[in-house]
Amino acid sequence: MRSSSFLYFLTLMLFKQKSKHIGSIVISIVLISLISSLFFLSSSIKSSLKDTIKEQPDFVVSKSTIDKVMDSEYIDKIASIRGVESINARVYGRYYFNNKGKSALIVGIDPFEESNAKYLRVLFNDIDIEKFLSKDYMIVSSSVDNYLKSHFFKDSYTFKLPSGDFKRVGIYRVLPTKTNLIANDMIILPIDIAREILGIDDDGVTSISFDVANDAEWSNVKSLLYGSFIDINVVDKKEIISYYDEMFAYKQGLFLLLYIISLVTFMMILYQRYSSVYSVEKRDIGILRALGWSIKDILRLKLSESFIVAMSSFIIGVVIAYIYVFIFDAPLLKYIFFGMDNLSVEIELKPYIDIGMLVSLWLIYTIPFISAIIIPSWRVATTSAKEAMK
Amino acid sequence: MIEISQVYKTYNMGTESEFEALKGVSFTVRDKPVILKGVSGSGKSTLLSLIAGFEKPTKGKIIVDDLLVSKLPDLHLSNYRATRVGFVFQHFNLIESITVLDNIIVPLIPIYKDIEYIKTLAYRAMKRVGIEHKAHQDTKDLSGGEKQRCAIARALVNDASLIVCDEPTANLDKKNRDNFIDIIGDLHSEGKRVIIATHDPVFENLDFECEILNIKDGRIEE
Repeated sequence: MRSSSFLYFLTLMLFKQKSKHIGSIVISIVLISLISSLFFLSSSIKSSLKDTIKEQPDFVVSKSTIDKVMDSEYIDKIASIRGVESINARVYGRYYFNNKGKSALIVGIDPFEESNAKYLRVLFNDIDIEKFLSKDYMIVSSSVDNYLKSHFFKDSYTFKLPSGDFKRVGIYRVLPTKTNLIANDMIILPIDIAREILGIDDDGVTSISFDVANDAEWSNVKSLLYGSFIDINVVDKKEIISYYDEMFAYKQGLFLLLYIISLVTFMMILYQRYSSVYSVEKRDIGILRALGWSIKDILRLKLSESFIVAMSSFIIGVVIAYIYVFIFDAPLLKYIFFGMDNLSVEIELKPYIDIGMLVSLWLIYTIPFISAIIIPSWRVATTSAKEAMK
Repeated sequence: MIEISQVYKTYNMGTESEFEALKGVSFTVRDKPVILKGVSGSGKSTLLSLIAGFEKPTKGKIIVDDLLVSKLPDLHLSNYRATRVGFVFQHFNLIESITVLDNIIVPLIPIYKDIEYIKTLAYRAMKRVGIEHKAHQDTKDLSGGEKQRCAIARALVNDASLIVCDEPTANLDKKNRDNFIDIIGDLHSEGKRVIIATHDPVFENLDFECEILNIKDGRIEE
């Protein structure tokens, strides 16, 4: 089989001059793995959040006044709007543990209500709702469970009620880790127990959720609600999705800016190095020219060399980022997105790769990298061989 | 036949450091090897680089066989250097980081695709100058004489009809110098045109007939 002499020489130059490339490869890998990790992390969280939001009710109504409690009148009025279905009243509020200001989100639901029962069955295939209601039980997130265990509450926790009394509630189940993204500090309780813990009167609710099957009616429903009540806040699913989009676009934009600044600095160093400092490179190009290599041959060699260096750095950087984010769950870096102020976050990051984002990173990196090498090489190649060899 | 006709070469034209290296050089190379003699800075190396196509004259004609080298566009000039010229540099100009074999194949890479064929040609050239036993040694580890033989093998590998040597014996001891002269004698007897720029007196008493031209201040002395 005929093997290409050009390929032979290209491989030879790459391996024989590896010390020349090693610095640029190492810096490139660090930059690419860092920025790819951040983008993998944010894309994965964004994608998981969007998937989770899809399962949530279309609208959530809460009160905008200091008094957050709504009575049954609100439910009745909402139910009377045409197109509204699957109405579900919930109670939620924050419960502060005594230690170190840590808190949990108390969510009180009616487990027999159709959508709640369905959601619980999605989380736990084998859940026995009647057993869950038979005693004072709660379902806690893994972070809450870990926190309670670390404070010696193994099977139950004793809540301090606003009345000054205490209420012991057993841990019925622990939520799967995959729900931590939205339920990291959550405690799910039957609605009556939640009211007791949060000090809410019987029949009082803090949010009402519902669906509207016809998308085109969403704005009408919203207008009707704002027309009927002056003290409510209505949030629909599309608003939440666009909020997340904006939040992640903002964070990704900042990272991209940092990446570009680092890249520009790196490329300037590289350009400087190839332009003036690297005289051996200049001499070698002069020798090749003197021995009959055309400018096109030289540029082909340099282009292939820099492309291979760029491509291998990029692939290694992306693979490292993938392993770091999706196998090791991005230790340290994930706190950029979640913070560390409340209960520790235990997130299982679902592998999600945004191809468009990877292509953009590749282009942003490769074009200046190759240019930083090719332009000085081209300048040397176009001078006379005699001059270049000096 | 190689014809050099009224060749001028001026560097840094139009600047304060303008320098006229060649001032109307003319001569013809036929069968005999040509020895260009002259002191440093007389214009020998400039003339060789023009003949080899490394740069173009400011004025005048250089014709090698049927080719007007002085007017060739860059791509054709590269092809001319790759196929018709073998150049032996004073300081060898080898790529230090690679082996003898790999240095010798360099001129053939733009011409041939088959690496095995290229290596066969390289071994033939190495055998001719007695350097084949060093084929896989890095050139930076060679002695001066070995580097010279490597540079000669590289100049011969493309079977060029014109061999141009710039101060080829300047860095050699007597034994290697004699070897080099033997190789030049062989090339001459094979019908190759040879042009050597040197101020080494050893070239004044060669076993074979050659034409000696003296160059001074950019002009050929009669």
